[in-house]
Amino acid sequence: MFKKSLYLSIVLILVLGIALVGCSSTTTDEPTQPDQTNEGTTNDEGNKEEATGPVEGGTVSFAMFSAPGGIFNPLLYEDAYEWNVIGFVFEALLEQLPDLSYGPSLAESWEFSEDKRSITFKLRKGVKWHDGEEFTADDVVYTYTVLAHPDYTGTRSYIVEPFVGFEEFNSGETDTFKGVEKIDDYTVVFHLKEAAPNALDNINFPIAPEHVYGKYEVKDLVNAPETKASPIGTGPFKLDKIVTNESYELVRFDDYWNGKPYLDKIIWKVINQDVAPGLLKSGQLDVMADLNPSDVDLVKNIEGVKIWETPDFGYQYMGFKFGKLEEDGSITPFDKVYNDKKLRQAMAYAINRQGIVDGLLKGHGTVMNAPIPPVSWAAASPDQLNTYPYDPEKAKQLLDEAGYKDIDGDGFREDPNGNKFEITLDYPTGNKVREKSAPIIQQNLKEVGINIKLNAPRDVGSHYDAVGNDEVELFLAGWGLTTDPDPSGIWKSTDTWNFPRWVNEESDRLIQEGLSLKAFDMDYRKDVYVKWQQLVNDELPYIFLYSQNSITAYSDRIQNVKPDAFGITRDIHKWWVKQ
Amino acid sequence: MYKYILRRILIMIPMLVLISIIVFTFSKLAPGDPFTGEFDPRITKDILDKKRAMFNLYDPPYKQYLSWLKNVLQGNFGVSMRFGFPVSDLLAERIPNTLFLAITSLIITLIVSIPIGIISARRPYSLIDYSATTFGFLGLATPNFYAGLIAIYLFSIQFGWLPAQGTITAGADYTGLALFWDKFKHVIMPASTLGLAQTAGYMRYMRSEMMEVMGKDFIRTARSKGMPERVILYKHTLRNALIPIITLLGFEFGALVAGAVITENVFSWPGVGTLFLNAVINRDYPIIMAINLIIATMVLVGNLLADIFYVIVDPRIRYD
Repeated sequence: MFKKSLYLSIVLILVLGIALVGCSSTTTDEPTQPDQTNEGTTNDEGNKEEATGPVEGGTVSFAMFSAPGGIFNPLLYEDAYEWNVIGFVFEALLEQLPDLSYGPSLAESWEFSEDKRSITFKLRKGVKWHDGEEFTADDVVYTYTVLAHPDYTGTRSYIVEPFVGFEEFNSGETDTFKGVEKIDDYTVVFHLKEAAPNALDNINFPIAPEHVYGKYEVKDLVNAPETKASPIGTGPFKLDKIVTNESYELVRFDDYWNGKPYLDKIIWKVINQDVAPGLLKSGQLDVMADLNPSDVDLVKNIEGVKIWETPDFGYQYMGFKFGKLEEDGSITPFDKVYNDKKLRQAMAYAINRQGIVDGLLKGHGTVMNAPIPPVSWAAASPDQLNTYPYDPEKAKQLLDEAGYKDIDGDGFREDPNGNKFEITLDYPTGNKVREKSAPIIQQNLKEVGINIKLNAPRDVGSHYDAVGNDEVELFLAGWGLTTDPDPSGIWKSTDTWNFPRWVNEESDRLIQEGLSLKAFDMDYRKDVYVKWQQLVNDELPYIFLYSQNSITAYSDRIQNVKPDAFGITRDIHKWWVKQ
Repeated sequence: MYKYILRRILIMIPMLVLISIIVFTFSKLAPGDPFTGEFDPRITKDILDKKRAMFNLYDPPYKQYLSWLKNVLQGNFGVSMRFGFPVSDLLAERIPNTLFLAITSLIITLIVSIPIGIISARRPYSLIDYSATTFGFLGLATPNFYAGLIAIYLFSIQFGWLPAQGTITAGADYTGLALFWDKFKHVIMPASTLGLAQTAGYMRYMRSEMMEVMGKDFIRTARSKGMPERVILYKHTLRNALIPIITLLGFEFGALVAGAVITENVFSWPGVGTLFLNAVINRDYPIIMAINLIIATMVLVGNLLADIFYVIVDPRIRYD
């Protein structure tokens, strides 16, 4: 008996010992790994292709950090994870090129009419759907008609709102949608209500096959088997097998119009974000997008892993609430101390935004000074804007000049009338960097004598509820933007998403001008947007914080990767792996 | 006995209704709805308002509750407001995974904790008792996510023995025994992680209960009668010492079905826990309600089962 228990205890001690060794090696092993030669391969385009040339076969695994909701239908999908999966399955009429302009895809060519209000698309012939049927104009008409249909259950009707006849069809007044017209099997004309220089950005949308989805009522589409499990597209890969919420397996489509893909399979795996870098190291994973800035150093040192970093179109900001949006659409202005532009500008000087980028984002981002991110063609250059560099002394001086002085000696300034003031700042949980930036902002402002009361962070739903209902003063939030610089939707005074309830006629006029006929000239359009950015940069209804880079890590096993502003997956049918 | 069980089951009905009212009230009190949050700014308010109207979110809350109740009584849990799928489908996808993980974890917990607890109690303050105690405190003190990450680092990344993610190997197409083995390899790490704190806790419980019972008069009597040590230990001591463990298990049952958000997250295990968390974040009311109802039912059933098991292990307990 004694021997038995001795044996058991030795086993136990060994188990504990292994666990302890495990602990120590996690803390000492990785950071001290010798700096290997990967530094040089960072942002390297990967032209190490040997004379062998592309080889067919192989599997590439991608990581995503959350499971997709499960709507694998381009007409109805709700989240970015769903798009991860069907992004290789469906294609739009046009493809956005690395320089943000549009090139042919399912449409071979397109032409604007004289008045710029109709666009004629010549469709590509010989494109096959995954089930072997031919792609035709009927599929295009079907796709846009569903989006405009009265029973449509998704959220993407904004795509068809600019089309002629949308209201009539959507309200059920007419039975046909006049906005999209089929001329013949390979020609479609889009009729728009107004000419818009960004029309292509607004209307480009993945096309779904009529012969597959058309057999369902529009309201039942969401529960169709081709929505949940077996979508049919024209893209280079077919969705083959789903293990719900854990892996999504795509196989190559041999009849892809742009050439048979080299890879056999692409597998999307749902993986915890903290675990993914380790799996990249052990080779169980090949591509990981949306890398945490704090993980970059760790991943960079893994042998055989490349990193692609590119600026993003989204940004984070701190907004001021200037008024309340009433039921009738009018805005009742608030009487707040920060209505004073000088105070807002002083605050911009007082916040160490570069410090937030360097410290919290480890340098993987850019300080923003205007609402169009620097990566856009329409972005104003830094010398056209006031960059509000971190300068507490200047902030103090501005506040002194404007009459904000600390009269009672409590360390906080009083307003020009000598009254105490305190501004509350609300922020949401979820985005870790944003969460951490709130106390830094409070501290920075305290250093120049501005009293900020930090409310406890709330979950995203509660936060945006309060922001949308105008129940906050200062608030942190962020925007993910499309590539077109048109600010309507967020910045016109009447917009729902104009969270600050900022009303400025000049701004509204410039936004309008940016979409005018004259703005079909890109240089003119850019001039308008630069003027608009200068206005916003001076008025500061937001204090712009930063734009975080989007960072992708991928295995150098994958050949022929062509990274660009959209990530690394362009022309994925040309990827191949060394066997 | 049967009367007793029947009575208990009947009492469950008003309790479940009460619980559903409370959960409904609280989820409605939380600010926002499924259509508030970080949306694509191109989605206009009109589009979102249309969706709100589609799900009757403008009706007075009591009306929304009553229509929910009516549907549930007809076996219909409604559809997810965010994704439009029937809630029962979403649950059907997740519950088998959750049960598989929970039951494996429970088996590991019991297999490890009860024998070690018994040995520790038989030889208190021996080397094995001290090792078990150390393990117990470490197990209780280590947060699940940390234990999970260490396990993944060791067994998945360093040694490459076990997969780090999911329930089966993607793209492998196993069948038969190979499939079973593959599933087993996937479940063992999350199940052990999930069971770590419980194992440690049960072990300590078992040890102290055994020691207490061993000091009781009836054990001394049995010993003085010359009863063999084995019979004393397994027939008289163990059965009595198991009673508090059964109570704990009764509660555990419901908690296990609720899933283990953190463990599921670390191992990307597609169970009810992550579905529940996302539903709460998205204010997807039908999912929140359905999962809560299931958890509540399971806790009530678990407690009832525990009460029935008392009779089996302890002849002193009788229900009339």
